[in-house]
Amino acid sequence: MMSLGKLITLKTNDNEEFKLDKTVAVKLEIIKNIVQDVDCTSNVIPLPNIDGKTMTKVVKYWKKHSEEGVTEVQLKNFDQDFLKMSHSELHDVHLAAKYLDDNQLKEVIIQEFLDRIKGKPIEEIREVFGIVNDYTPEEEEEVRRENAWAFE
Amino acid sequence: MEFEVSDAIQVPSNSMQDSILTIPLLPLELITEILLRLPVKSLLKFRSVSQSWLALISNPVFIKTDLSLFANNKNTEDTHHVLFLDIGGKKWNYKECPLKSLFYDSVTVALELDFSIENDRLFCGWEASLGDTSISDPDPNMGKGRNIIAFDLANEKWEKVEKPSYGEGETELLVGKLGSHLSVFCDYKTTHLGAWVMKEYGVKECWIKMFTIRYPNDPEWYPTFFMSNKGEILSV
Repeated sequence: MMSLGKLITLKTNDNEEFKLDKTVAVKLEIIKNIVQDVDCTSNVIPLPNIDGKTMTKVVKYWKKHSEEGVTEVQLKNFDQDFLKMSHSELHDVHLAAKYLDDNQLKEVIIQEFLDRIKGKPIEEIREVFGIVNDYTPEEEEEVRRENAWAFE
Repeated sequence: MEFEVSDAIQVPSNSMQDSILTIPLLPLELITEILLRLPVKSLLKFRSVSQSWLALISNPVFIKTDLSLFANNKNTEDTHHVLFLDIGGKKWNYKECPLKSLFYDSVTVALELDFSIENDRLFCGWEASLGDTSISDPDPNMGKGRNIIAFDLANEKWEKVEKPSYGEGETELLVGKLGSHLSVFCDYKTTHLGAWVMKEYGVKECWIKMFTIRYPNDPEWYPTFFMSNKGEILSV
């Protein structure tokens, strides 16, 4: 069992260390399991799938969302600001949240992606997802015609 | 847009992955999760993004997952319902419950087709009581006579709904909901039960006579009707 220190250290794959209040960390399934199952005397939990840059963002999110007395409005403003990142950064945070089994953060990221594509024309969707249009103009016309009502 | 090749992380994906799908910059897994949350209309539109998206959206596994998510979200509102007759006191009563609940719930609660919420409006018939809701009582004039009244949840106002043009010999029984449509059940010459359904809310011409059912002669026999989400009726 882990010793009863108040702080837990998370260590990313590029050796960056994050000290977290244990009460924040054990809310997360994966951390909780490691704390319970592994005979871990050093209080350091390795996160082989996450880099320091991404973990900084995740920890920032956790800290804000576990702040005492934080209001809904403050959280909303924080989230809005937090999500101002590139698509690839968003994706990294999503992967981290997935690995850490943080469903709330995962949902927030997916919602942000949805907001970014909502009501956008097909051309912009391709840009958001970095997709190369591999239809010939005739094929694209055909698919569009089949689903014409969806474009109204 | 700062996409780099290194951003294209290939994640061991679920069964959605298909060899014909090219690996986009965001992994399929994430794209799938995003697409699963989109309404059908957007999905159809997004088929023209690329061939890989067309393949993904047309994939049976994807469609199945999408449908089950949809069913879970929607409280089985638009899935199959069962209608059955119940003798309550002196009159026939139609009740309904979701078909799913017969199989999965320990107790099935059948609701009387009395009032319903549709299109952000709460409907009630002439006999319905709103119980202890906090909604103010309707204008007494609207409640007079046999009117269908609706409470617009957005404006918090009561309004009158145009009634169907009944045929001769038809008497209204109660207001209810069939599938996701407002409906009126009426009695035809005390031999049949008829159901009118308003296909498009607020348009009088959209009242359609959905079906008529002969009352059972044998009071011990309770006919049960199954209605699919397409409105098909099965009587057993």
